[in-house]
Amino acid sequence: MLVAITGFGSVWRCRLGKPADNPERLRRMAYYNTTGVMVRGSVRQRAKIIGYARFNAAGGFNPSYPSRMINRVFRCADPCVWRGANKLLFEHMLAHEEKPDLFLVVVRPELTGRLIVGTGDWRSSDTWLLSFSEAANQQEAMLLMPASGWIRGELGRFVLEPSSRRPWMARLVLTAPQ
Amino acid sequence: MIRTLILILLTAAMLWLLTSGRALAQQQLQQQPGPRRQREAQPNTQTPVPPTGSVYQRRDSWYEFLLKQFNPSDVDYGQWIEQRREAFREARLRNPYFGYSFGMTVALLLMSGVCTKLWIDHRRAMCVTAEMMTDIFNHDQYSREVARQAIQKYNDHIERCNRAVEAAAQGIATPTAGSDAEALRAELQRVAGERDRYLQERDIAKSELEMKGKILAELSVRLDGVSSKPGTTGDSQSPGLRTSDPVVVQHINNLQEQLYAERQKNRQMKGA
Repeated sequence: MLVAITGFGSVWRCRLGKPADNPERLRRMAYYNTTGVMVRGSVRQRAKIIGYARFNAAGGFNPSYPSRMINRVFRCADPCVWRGANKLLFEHMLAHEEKPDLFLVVVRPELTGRLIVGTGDWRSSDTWLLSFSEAANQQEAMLLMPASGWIRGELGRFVLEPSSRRPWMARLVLTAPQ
Repeated sequence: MIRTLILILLTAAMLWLLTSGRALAQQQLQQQPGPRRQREAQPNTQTPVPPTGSVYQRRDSWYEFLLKQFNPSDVDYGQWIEQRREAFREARLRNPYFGYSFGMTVALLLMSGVCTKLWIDHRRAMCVTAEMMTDIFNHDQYSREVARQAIQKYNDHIERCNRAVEAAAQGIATPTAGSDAEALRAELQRVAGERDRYLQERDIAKSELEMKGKILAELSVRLDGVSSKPGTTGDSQSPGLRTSDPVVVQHINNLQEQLYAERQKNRQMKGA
């Protein structure tokens, strides 16, 4: 499964490879990205639906420049539930961009308005909510969406539209209600 | 037709003007007009006037003939105007009384302008003042009306209180108090009913929430069991990922959202 990244969540964690005396443990580092919200000046997870995206250092992910990973295509494992948390493993980054199957999208209320998660028609059926954080009026949701997938916020219905010339780049576009 | 008529009329008018102009010139020659007499008084600036009978003998050009039709006596009007202007200057501008009168006139005009300006400003200020006074008057009327209504309301209230006190002193139940109590009792029953209904909905939601939580926990345990089977090499390799059923994952995802929504609903109901 090919997944293109359009954005990252606010919370990053990393884990060193094991065993501790392995000289290649840095190459085996894993980075976990999930959603978070600002609480009293610091980013907290405050997860309502727990999930994360995992990146491997060996898979081409460079933690020093996460912005360079945006609009890149990764080969991923199928999404699953691991110990009660949704999990999406990004195995390795493709050297050349291809048309992805899905897009990793992070949504905040600044763009879409408040999401009403759990209602019947807040997202298209082929969209998968990976992680969701909420505190006070702040929200952050990490979604796995196909092209033309949609979500509905307070501001309206947003459809994920890939670029026609670069199909690995997509953005949420507000559309008129049908 | 009309053009022809207009042309004929214009031609007739021109002929009449020419003939009348010649007749007038001859008459003026006989009567010796003012400018001519002026010129005769100053012979050094006078141009000699040829005799009338010699006009056609000199054979003037056509434009001289035309000009002589308008000025047959050949009067030098420019010189006449210059003489008049010089006389005016001598008589008026170089006279000291004229300067004084002119200065006084200008001063009076300026004073008139200042007075007009002051009058306009005063009138404008008076208009603004009148508007302000009107607003104040209207506000005063409004305030008095509001005060009158408040006083009337207060008096009615005090009157009802007095009636109630008198009735209580005499041991008579007031009908209004009874109706108020009935209304309040009905309102209390309605609110109690709503509270019971909300409590029932909350209990139902709570039970549904617990049930879904149990389902979710069971599914998570089952998935954990599947993913931690012998032969797996950790989550980074995650063979369980490849064997995970997308339908089950989708179902779990939906359940997670429903759980979140139910929690939100439950929180709102607790808040209510």
